[in-house]
Amino acid sequence: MTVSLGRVLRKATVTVLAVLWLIPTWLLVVNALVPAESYSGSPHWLPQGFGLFDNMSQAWDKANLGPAFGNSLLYSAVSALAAAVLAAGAAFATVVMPVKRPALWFWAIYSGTLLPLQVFIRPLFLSYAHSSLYDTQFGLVLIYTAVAIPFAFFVMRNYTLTLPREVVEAARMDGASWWRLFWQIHVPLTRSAMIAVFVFQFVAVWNDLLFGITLATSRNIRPIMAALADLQGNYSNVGPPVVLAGALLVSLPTLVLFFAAQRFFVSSLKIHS
Amino acid sequence: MSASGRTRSASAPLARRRFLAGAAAGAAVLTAGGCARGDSTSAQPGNTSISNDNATWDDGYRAAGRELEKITGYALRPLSNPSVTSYQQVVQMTLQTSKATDLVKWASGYQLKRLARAGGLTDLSDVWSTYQAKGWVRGTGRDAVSYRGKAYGIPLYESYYVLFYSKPVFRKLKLSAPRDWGELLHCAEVLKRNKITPFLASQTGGWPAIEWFQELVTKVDPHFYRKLVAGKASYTDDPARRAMDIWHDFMRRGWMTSPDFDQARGPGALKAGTVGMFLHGTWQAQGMTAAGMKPGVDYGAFILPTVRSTTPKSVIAESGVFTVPARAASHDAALANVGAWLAPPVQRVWSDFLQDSSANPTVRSNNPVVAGLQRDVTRERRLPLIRYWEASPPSLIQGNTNDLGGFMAGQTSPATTLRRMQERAQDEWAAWRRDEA
Amino acid sequence: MSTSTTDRPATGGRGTPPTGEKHRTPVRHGWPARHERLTAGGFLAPAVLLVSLLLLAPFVWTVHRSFFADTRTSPFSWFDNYTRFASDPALTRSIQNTLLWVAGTVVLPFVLGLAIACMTDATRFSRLARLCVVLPYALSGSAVAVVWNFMLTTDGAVNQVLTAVNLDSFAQGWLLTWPGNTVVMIIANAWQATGVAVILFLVGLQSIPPETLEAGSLDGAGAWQQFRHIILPQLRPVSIIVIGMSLVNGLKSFDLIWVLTQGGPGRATETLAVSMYNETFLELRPGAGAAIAVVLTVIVLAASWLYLRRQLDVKGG
Repeated sequence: MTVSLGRVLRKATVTVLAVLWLIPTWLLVVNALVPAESYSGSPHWLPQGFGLFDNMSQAWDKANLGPAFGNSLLYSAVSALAAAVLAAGAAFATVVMPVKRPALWFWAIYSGTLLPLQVFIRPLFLSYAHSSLYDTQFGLVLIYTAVAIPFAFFVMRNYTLTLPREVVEAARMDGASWWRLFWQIHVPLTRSAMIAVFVFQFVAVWNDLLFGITLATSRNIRPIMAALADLQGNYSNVGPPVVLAGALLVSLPTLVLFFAAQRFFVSSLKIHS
Repeated sequence: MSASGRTRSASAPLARRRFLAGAAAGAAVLTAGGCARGDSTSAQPGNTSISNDNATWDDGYRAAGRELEKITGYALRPLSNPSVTSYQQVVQMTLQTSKATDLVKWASGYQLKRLARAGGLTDLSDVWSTYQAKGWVRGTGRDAVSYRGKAYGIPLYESYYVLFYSKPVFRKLKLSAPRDWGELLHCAEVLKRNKITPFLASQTGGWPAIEWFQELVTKVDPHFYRKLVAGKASYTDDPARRAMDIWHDFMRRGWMTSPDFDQARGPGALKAGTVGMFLHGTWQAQGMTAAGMKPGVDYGAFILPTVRSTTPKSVIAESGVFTVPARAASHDAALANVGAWLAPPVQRVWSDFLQDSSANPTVRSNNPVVAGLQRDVTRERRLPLIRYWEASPPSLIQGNTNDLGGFMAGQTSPATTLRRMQERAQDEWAAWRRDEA
Repeated sequence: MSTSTTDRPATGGRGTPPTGEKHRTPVRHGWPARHERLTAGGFLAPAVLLVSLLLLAPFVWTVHRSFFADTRTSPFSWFDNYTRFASDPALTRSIQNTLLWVAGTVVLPFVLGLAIACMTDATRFSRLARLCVVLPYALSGSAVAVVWNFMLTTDGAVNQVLTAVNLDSFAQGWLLTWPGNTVVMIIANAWQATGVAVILFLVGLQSIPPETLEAGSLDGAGAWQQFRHIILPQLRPVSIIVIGMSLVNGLKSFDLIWVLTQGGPGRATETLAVSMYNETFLELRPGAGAAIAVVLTVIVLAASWLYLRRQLDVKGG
């Protein structure tokens, strides 16, 4: 009997939490559904008409989201992938391989995440302007990768620490080179951490606004949040439904990614029988 | 480490190799694509690029640019930056490099002075004299765009600070646009009785906190305002104190919206009848139209009456400027465009887009509400005063705006707020003069 | 365990050679050890290079800038910019807010994330519940800001609900008075950040061998005891990540604050990151902003080091 009470309590808490979490999302979706003309001026709680696609296409046109979408896909995918791989390599080097002063390397890389991004804006802008990296896709990929590496490194390193060393030592005994070891043993072992890291950094780069508006200005370079911000400046003219529909629209790729990743994360969960 | 992980790695080396090959190919494609360069920052023949911080005006620039092209042969190509602070950063940093755009939209007054002080702007005094000779610009405006005697900007538009109101709502309550202070208070009381918030006041976004301050001080004593913003009067003097007391009184009576009311909702609130009067610049007329209100039919505007009938009448005027960076890529084209910007055909198109007044006094606005205001300003011989945001050194304004925001949220009393503003004024004016030396 | 099929010690330069290899001179620190170090360097180099060039170098520039005054000629001014911390009340408030943010962003997402990761399993219902919690993380910052603005302004959704259920007295300007405005923004942040904690804890839970759990339940341990004595210790590595990350994010918090209140009204909700931005980009005092950035970084470094140094000494978990 105590088991079922615990179970009921558990289910109840989970339900309450889920509902609480859902409230803002609900508001977001409901107000994006309202057709732009019939918005009353204060937030709607219940759906009223279905203007979602209309609002989304208005947002798409007004903010010219097409090229920006492609840009952001490029930046997020490339930077997140590069950061995951480079961080895995660095974690491999500091944990598995024999390096002197591993703590030094840890802080050298990890300290990159300790600094607020606004600190970098001014000096980065100046050096980008001087080196012609300003307003180029390569420049943005570079900074996004650099910003994504420290946290990725932190996660990969911690995950690598939990792995047993026998596999690596056995492979070294068999004469494997570090390179092969990395690609054929280490990477598969740390797959779930790498995927988690990729998902986080993809979302982080996708949602970036600061670097997007400072280090780029042309339509064919700008990431999507910068393009969306144009729409928000127009807020009073278009109204919340269009702005919210636009915000939902640009969140779609990350939402899809999360769906896919969730499947992977919980595929073999066996906590409660 | 889970057991499943170990079995997976042993069984899929081929799949992994294919995956790696695919990833490598994808990466190669992406890198090739990643070598793209921005298409906007390089010079393009036949048009001049403009930096601007308000994307809603892009279409207006393009339309005006088509007229400009007929005169100078160069069109306009707007590049907008959605964040105002980022815009200021980017402009100030690019001004010293070759990546500056051909034309830059900036504020006038001390904001322009600070930009000019850093060097990097072209002297436009000749352009200004030509305009003045043709009567296409008001001579009184030269001061606002000058630094050390030289003009560095050409006015972009000319907006007045007014109170918008909904004509249907006023008609229903048997009210009309107030012509003196007593009528204004009467309107507010009637609106409040009918559960409509009389005035819209906001500090969302920071700078809107100055709107009511500048309005009330100028309607108490406009000459005092001029001295105040020039650093020759104190914030703790009587007129400023009276203005703040009036404001405080309005807030206490519940006549003002709560300070976190986003001004972007203003037109909608006016239309829905939840707010009675909306203090803002006449460039808001465009937003009113976008909200579906017709000028003169659905909304009107009036300038705040003076507190005492003997006080000289004034109006707060705001006008952005075009400046030309010295290192602009198409410098001659930029100068040509700046020299033709105030030409009537161009201003006709621009003013129609903005629904606001042009800086060229010969071009009257087509928006009946704005045209009525223009006539009022001339008829009453209102003293044009510069907006607070540009009227004093920027760091002083920034700090004082924060203080006013805190006052609106009820953090400080009128006396304390004014005292802090005065202390800051003393420090900042000293700093400005020291930097000028 | 180790045999002598390799012709050199299994570790280069560290650790003792295993017994049974005495017939070879284990000390040949010439070519092989250097080759090893070079390979290690090759793995480390790209990450280190990118981070130092693009992130650390600008920071060094910022430290340098903090020692110069903000007047036009910018003379060297020693620690003048740092003394502002003592004289400016806005900065004192800023530090208070930063501490509040750290406390809030470390505790809330950790506790809630752990609770949700552990209380849910693989059933459909659980998946749905988890999705509700994780979803906000995938929403764009502008969506989050707009929706919380909707909710928290004086005539927003929260006050609407409170008036509707006759709880008028609770309806207030959530974003207008301190410390209430900081607290609600911390909650808004937790709404988004818990999703990350949930995912990380899920990854950690996945790596717990099921045999350990079965052994525990066979021994008659109840669910709570299982949690305290088996699951929690196994989640330590992930907890380190979650707390380390929350610590840093709490100290760096900027975006949500900027969009909801711009650090106001009257600079009451500024954290050190917001103050730095305000000083550098709005008040145009880059020296003062640089000083704030340096102080913030020192605090973040100290906090992280204090928290992480024990983890760094322990190799192999």
